Amino acid sequence: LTRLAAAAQDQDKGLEFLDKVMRMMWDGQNDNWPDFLIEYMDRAGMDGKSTDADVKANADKYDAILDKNGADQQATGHGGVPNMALRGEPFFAEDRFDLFFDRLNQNGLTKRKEAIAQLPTSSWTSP
Amino acid sequence: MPVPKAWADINTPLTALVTEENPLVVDHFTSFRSPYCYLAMGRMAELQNTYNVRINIRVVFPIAVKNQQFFQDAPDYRYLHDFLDAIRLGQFHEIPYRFPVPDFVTQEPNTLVVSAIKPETWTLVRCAAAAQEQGRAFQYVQRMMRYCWDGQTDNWMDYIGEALTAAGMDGPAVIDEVMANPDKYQAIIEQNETDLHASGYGGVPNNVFRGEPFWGQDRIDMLLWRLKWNGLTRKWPLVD
Repeated sequence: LTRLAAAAQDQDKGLEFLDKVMRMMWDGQNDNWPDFLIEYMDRAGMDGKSTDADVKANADKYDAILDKNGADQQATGHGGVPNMALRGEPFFAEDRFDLFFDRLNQNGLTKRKEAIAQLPTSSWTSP
Repeated sequence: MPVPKAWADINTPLTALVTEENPLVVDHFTSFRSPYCYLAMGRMAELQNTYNVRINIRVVFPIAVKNQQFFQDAPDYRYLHDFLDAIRLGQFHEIPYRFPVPDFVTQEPNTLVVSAIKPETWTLVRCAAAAQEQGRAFQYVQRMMRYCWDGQTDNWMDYIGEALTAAGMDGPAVIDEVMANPDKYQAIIEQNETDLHASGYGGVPNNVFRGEPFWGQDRIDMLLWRLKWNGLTRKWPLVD
């Protein structure tokens, strides 16, 4: 599971992977999350089957990505999760999201003209 | 571990009519050396001023007093992260903020070893116990929190008597009483400590409502949500 997330990161699909897979595991609609990983990677816009085979064949490559994540996380100044890092400043925990958003706005955040097709808000009701 | 009984009651809201005479009751556990406790205090005052809720302020000793090893044993980023986090939270919540001068303990900045506790720290905290006994804890603690943390005054120990008096007590008499009977007030603080732990979380600030802990200044909004779910009503200030 964790190496698949590293593979998603490698494929620039990290957020899409988490969006699909985290909800599949946590929202209470599915037991036995291991049975659904390939299907939900496909839903995240990845090739689930080939990614799974690649991760099984090249575990070290993906462990290196995870180690690097851990090192960069510690370098922010907080070792816990969830932790958003913006310009090196850590925003640790889900209860710092408002502070994080405020900081983004201070740095000139603007809104998208249109929602990202990959992450429609309606997907919260039907994965 | 057994689940505290209160968590099992969460799904059963109170049904009594909440009024000024029959407010919801919250225990707020706090510590003078915690930046997060200071940052919470004003919002707790706002809550009590706005809604029919009674907030019992109950002070415990700083963690650096209870466990002088605490900051050495914590993850290495813990102290610095919280130090910086508190500064930006003050900015975010528009609360004047500066670490107290002097500190309540002697702590070596690099090793974080706590080598001594200021004698006045005991007085500061025991006076909160005396205020609690007289039903004036909120009034005293919020004033001392500001003398310590809002950056307008150094030497918070010089203001203990003043804060007690402003809180509606006889300041010099309370200090004399606390000095003469430290054990009595120590016992009140220890009871606070016991009740804090019984809530299911030992950190501060911690709001406990119906036995359920709401730990952290970032759980005040969740406390309010829970209070509303239990029939919270607003105070009704009369027009002059």
